[in-house]
Amino acid sequence: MANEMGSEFTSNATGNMEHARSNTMNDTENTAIALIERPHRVAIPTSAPHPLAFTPSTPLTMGVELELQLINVETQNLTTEADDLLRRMAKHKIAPNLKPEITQSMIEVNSSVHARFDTLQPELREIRDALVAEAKRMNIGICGGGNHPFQKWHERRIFPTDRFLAVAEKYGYLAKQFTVFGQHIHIGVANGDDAMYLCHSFARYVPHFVALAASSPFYQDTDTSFDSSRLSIVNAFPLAGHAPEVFQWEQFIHYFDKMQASGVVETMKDFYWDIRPKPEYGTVELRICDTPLTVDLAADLAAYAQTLAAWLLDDRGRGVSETSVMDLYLPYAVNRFQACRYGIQAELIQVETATRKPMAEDFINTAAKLQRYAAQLDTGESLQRLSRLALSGNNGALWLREQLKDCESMWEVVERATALWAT
Amino acid sequence: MFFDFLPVFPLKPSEFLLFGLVLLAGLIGGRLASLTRLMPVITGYILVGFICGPGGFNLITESMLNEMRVFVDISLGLILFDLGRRIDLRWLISEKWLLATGLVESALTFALLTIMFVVFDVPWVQAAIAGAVGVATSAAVVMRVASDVASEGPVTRRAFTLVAINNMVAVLLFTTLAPLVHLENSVVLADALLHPLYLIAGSVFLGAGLFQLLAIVSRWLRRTNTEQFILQLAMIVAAVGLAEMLHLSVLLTLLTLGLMARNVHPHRRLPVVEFGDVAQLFFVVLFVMTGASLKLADFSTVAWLALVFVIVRFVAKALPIFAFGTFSKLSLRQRTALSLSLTPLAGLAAGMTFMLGDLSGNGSPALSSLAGTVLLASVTLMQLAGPVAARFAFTYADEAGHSQ
Repeated sequence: MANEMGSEFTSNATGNMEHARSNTMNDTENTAIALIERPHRVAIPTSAPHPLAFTPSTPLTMGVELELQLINVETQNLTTEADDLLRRMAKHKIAPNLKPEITQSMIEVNSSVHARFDTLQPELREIRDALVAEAKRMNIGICGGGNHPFQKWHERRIFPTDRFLAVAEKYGYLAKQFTVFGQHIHIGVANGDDAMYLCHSFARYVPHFVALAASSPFYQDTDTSFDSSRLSIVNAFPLAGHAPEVFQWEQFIHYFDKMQASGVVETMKDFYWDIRPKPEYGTVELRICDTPLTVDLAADLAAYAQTLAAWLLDDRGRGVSETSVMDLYLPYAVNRFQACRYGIQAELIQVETATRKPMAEDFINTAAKLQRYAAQLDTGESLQRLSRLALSGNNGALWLREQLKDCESMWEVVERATALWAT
Repeated sequence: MFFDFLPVFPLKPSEFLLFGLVLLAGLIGGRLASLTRLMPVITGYILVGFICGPGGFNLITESMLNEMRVFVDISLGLILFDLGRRIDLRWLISEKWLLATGLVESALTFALLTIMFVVFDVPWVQAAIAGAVGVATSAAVVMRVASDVASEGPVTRRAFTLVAINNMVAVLLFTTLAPLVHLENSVVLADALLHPLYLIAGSVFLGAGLFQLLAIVSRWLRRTNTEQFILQLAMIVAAVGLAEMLHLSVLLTLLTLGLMARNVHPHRRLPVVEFGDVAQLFFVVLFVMTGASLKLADFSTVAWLALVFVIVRFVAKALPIFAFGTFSKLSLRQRTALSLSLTPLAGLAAGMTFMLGDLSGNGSPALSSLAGTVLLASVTLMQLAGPVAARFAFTYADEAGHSQ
C-alpha cells in the first residue's frame, strides 16, 4: 500500500548521513562513495518554496519500508489489531519505526536511512525481533509475503485516521482490497533531475525486483498462477503505472501543477506509480516489490537497488535519456506482467534487439556488471545471494507453493510463513 | 365411520412442528432484538423462549422442553468444543499474568460469594457450592455474542480464555464440594472421595481418547470444510452422549477435546473448521430453550440478594482484571470491557446444567432453598442482562466488526 515514510525517516537521516561520511572520508577513489560525497546542488529560495521543492539528500543512501501481515494464530486469517499493537509498542525503542496502514490487519515498519547494507540488515532484524516478541505476548503472528492467501477483503477494517478514512471514501472497495503487502525501497539522490533520471532508468529493472520478491501466489483461497498477484490489485487504481516521460525536475513540477490545477490529483500521494520521486525526502521510491518472506531478502533487494543506482548514476550512458525513454516504456507493461505471472521463469522482451531473454540470465548479467560498485558498497554478498535465488528460481512464491503441496492446507501455509518470518 | 382419515382432536403437535415453530419464534425474537441496536440477537431468542415457555404462555411445555433437550446438548457441546479450541496453552503459559488473572478472579469470586451466602445464614458447604456455581461464566453467551458482533481482538481473546479457566475451576470446585453434602447425608466416604476423581480423570481421558480418534479420521478424510465439519460435529455429539452415559462432566470432556484439537503437536492438529449456518440453527434452539427454561418464581424476597450476588461477582472478577491488567499492558478501556464481558452468569444456559440438575422446585439436593433460589434469581436476571453487557463490552473495546 502506498504509505509514506514518516518524519522519523528524515530525522534519522541526518545522523546516518554523518555516519556515512565519517566512514568514507579517506575513500576518495571510490566512485560510488564519491557519489555519496558529491556536494548537493541547493536551490536559492526566491519566494515561498513550491510544495514539490526537492530536498536534496545524500546520494545512494537507502531506506526500506515493509508492510506486514498481522495474523490470528488460531485461524491463520488476518487479524484486526494494528492499533493495539502500535499502542503496546508506543514506548518501545523501535516505536518511531512503526506506522499504521490502510486496514487494521497491516502494519508498516520503516528502517532508518543507511549508507551501507551492513547497518541496514541488523536494524531490520532488530525491528523484526521486537515486533515478533510483542506479537507473541499478544498471541498474534507477524508474517511477510505480498498478500494473505485466503483473507476476505470485505472483513477488513479501515484504520481510523482521517487520511485512511478519506482514501476509503474515495476508492470504495479498492481501499479494503488494498490489504496487500509491499516493500518500498528509497534511494537518496542529490536533486530532482537525478530523481527523474533514476525513476526512468530503474524502470528497465522493475521485472527483476518483482520476480525476486514475488511472494503472493495465492489469493481468495486459490492459486492465482501468478508469482505476484499483489500488483494486480495495485493496477486497479486510476493513477497506477509509471511516471510521465519528463527528465527535468522543473518539467515535473509543471506536470504536477497542471494535474493538480485540473483536479486529477491533490497531492503526490495520489500517484500509485511503480517508481516515484519523493521530493520531501530527496529519494526515489521503488514500490513494486512484494514484502518478502524474510527481512534478509528485503535487505538484499535494497542492496541491489543501491548498487544499481550507483551504476546508473555514475555511468549515465547506461541509463535512459530523453531520446531512449520511448523505447524503454514500450515493453514495460508486458515485462512487468511477465514477472508477475512467471516470476523468475519469465522471459523479458528486449526492444533494442527485438528478442526475448530469460529473466534469470538478464539478472545474472546485470549483477555481473555491478561488481565494481558492489565491491565499493559492500553489497557483493547480497548480489551473490540474489543470483543464487535467480538461478534456482526459488523465490517466495515457489516456497509457498511447495508448502501447500506438502501440507495441503492454506492455513498451515500461513502458519509456516509466520514461523519463517520470525527466524 | 366417516372422515376417519382426518386427525383426531385435540391435535397433538409433532416434534417437527415444534422444532419449526421454535426456530421461527427464535428468528422473530432475534430480529426484534437486533432492531433495538442494543440487545444482542440471543436476548431476543431468550425472551421469545421465556414468553412461549412454561413461565409465560406455556406454548412450549415441560415435556416439549425435555424432547428438545438433545438439541440443547448438541449446541452446548459445539460451544464448549469451540471454547476449548480457542485456548492457546502455549500463550497461557508464556503470558503468566493472564493465567494469574483467571485463577485469582475465579478464587476471589468463589471466596466472596461463599462469604456472602454464609453471612446470610446459608450453611458453609452449601454456601461454598453456590459460590462455586457463581465462578462460572456462560460460555454460550460470551461466545455467541462475540460471534454475532464479529468481535475479534485482545479483549475477546482474553475473555474466551478467562471463561474457559473459570468454567474449569467451577467444575473442579463443584465436584470436590458436592460429595461433602453426600457426607452430611451419610454417604460412604469412599464414594465421596472417588466421585470427583472419577469425574475429572474420566472426563479428561474421554476427551483425550476421542481426540485421538478424531485426529486419525481427520487425516484420512479430505481436508474440506464440509467433511471436517461433519466429522467434528459427529465427534462432539458422540462425546456429549458418552460423557452423559458414563456420568462424566460434559463440560470437561468437550473442553479437553477442544483444547487438544488446538494445542497438540502441529502435525496432528485438526483443521480449523467454520461451524457455519448449520451450527447457527442449533444455537437458536439453545437460547430459545434457555429462555423457556426460565421460571419466574416468587423472587420478591430474594431479589435484592440476587442483586448483591451479581454485584459481588462482578467486583470479584473485575478487581484482579484491573490489578493484573497493567502487567499485561491492557488499557483501562480494555480492562473495563474485559470485566463486563465476564458478567454473563453460567446457569441453565451452560455447563452448570449438567452439574446442578434441576435448580427449580425445591432446589438442587445439594443446595439449600435460599441459596438455590438466589442462584435461580441471579441466573434469570443475568440471562437477560448478561448478553447485553457482553455485547456492550465487545463494542466498547472497539472489537466488534459489525452489528449482527
